[in-house]
Amino acid sequence: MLLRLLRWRRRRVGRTPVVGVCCPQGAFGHCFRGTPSYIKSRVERSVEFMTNHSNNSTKSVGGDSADHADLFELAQLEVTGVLETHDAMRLERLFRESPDKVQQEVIELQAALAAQVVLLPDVQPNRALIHEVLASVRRDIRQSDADMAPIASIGVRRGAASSRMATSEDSQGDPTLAVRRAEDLRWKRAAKLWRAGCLAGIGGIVVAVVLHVSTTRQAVRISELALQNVVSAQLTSMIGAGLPEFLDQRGVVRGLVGASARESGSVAVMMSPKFDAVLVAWIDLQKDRVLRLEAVDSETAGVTAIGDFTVVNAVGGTRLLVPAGAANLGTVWRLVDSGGNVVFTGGPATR
Amino acid sequence: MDQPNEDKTLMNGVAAGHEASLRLLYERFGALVFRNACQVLGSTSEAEDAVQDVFVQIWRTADRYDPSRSKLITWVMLISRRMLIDRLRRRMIRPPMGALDESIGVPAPQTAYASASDPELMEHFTKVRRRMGELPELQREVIDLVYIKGFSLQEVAEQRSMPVGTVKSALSRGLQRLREKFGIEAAG
Repeated sequence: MLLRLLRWRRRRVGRTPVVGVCCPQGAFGHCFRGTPSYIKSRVERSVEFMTNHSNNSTKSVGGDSADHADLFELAQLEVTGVLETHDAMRLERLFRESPDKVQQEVIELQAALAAQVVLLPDVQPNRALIHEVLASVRRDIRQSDADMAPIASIGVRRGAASSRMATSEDSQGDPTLAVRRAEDLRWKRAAKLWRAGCLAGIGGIVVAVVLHVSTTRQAVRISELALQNVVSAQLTSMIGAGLPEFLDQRGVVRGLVGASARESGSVAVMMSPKFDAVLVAWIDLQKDRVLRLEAVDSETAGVTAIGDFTVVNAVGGTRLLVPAGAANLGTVWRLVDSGGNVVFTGGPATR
Repeated sequence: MDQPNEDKTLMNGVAAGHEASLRLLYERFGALVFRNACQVLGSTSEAEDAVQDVFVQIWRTADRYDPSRSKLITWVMLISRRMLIDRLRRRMIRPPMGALDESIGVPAPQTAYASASDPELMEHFTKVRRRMGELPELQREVIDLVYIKGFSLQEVAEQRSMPVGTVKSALSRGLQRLREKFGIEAAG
C-alpha cells in the first residue's frame, strides 16, 4: 500500500524532466535497435571477462580468492534469474565487501552477460507491441490511481485530464511545452494542497510526536497512535498496511537513535514472529535518502543486510522480508546510508 | 550526463509514468526482452504477453533501480528472466521429476522446445540443442533444466542427488563455455 502511495505521489509531485525527448535519437549508447556492432562488442567483452576471471580467480583483488570466485559465480547466476534468496543475500554481502574495482568488474560482467544473445532466437517483435506495452502500463497506472483514490481525495481536485499519463506529444514543440509547464505548475500547487490536506488530518498528532517525544519514545508513540481510532487509518496508510499486525507484538519494537547529532529524525524497527518481516517506520528523515537496514548478531557481530529503501516522505515506513534466523530479540538493528556510514542504530545494546 | 545518471533519470521518468521515458526504455530493451521471452516460452504470441508484463513490473519497481549496483540492462534483464521463469513455472504442466532423466534431447511437454510453433523458433531450438550437445553431459543437462526449462537449482540438485553447489557450478561453467564457444560467432 505504502509503495503504491509513494509511486502515486511521485507521479503527481516528482515530475522530472522527460528523458530522451530533448536528446537526439540514438544518443543513448545502449540502444540495441540497429546496432549489431554494439551487441558484438558486448559479447566480446563478455567472453573476455569470463576468460580473465576464470584464469585469474586465485590472484584476485579484495582478499579471499574463494569469496572472489563465489562473487563472480553468483553474479553470473543472478543474471540468469535463478538465484535463491540466501544466495542473493550472500551475493549482496560479497559485493558490498568488495573493493570498488571489483564491484565495477562485477557490474561490467553482469551487463555483458545480460546483453549476450548466444542462446536467443533471431526474432524481432511486432512493431505494434510497443503500443500494447504502453497500454498495459497505462492500465496499471489507472488501477493504482483507483486504489489510491481515498487518499487522493484529500486536498486535491482531480480533473479528467490529470489522471492520464504524460504523453510524448506534450513535450514536442514550444506551444505544448508551455502547456506542459503550466500543467506542471498546476500539479505543484495540487501537491501542496495534498500535503496540506494530509497535514491537516494527521498533522497535530504527528507534529506533537516529532516535537515532544524522545527519539525512542517517538517510535513507540507512533505505534500507539496507529492503534487508536483517531488517526489509525491515515497513519497506517502512510506507514504500511501491516502496521497494526506488527504492533500486536509490543515487546519487539526497537527505537533507533541517530549515530550523529546531524540525524534529527526518528526510526523504529518492528518485528513480529507472525511474519518473516520487519516494518521500518520513520519520522522527519531527509527525503530521497537511500538507506539499508542491517541486522547485527549481538553475539557474533555478524551482519545481515535485510534490504534497501528510499525515504520518499518525511513520515513513512516500509516492510522488509527477513531471512529465517537472521534476526531475534537480541538483534542490533542499524541503518546504513549509500556511502556505507551507519546513520541510525538501536537494539538491546543501546537501550 | 554520464550513463549511470542518465539511466537513473530515465528510470525516474518511468517511475513517474512518463510515456516518453517508457517509450525510450522499450526502444532500448524491448527487442532483447522479447527475444528472451521467445527463447524461454517458445511462442511469439505468449512472448508478446510476457513483454507487456515485464514492462509493467519494471514500471512498478522503477524507483528501486540503483545504478551503483548494476547497469540498467542488467536490472531490466534480471526482472525479465525472473518473470519469464515464473511464467514458465505457472504455465508448465511440470513433468514428473523422474521423467527428467530423458529430458535431454527429448524435450519435456509444455516447454519452449515442444511448444515452439514458429518455424524460426523451431530452427532456433534445433540450433541451441546442437550447440548444447557439445557441452559435457552435466553442464548440458543443468542448462537445459534450469536455464531453459525453469527448474530451480534446488529441484535439480534433489533430483540428481547432488549438492546445489555442483549444480550452480555446472550451470555457471556451461553458460561460460557456450559464450566462449559461440558468443563472438553468434554476434558476428
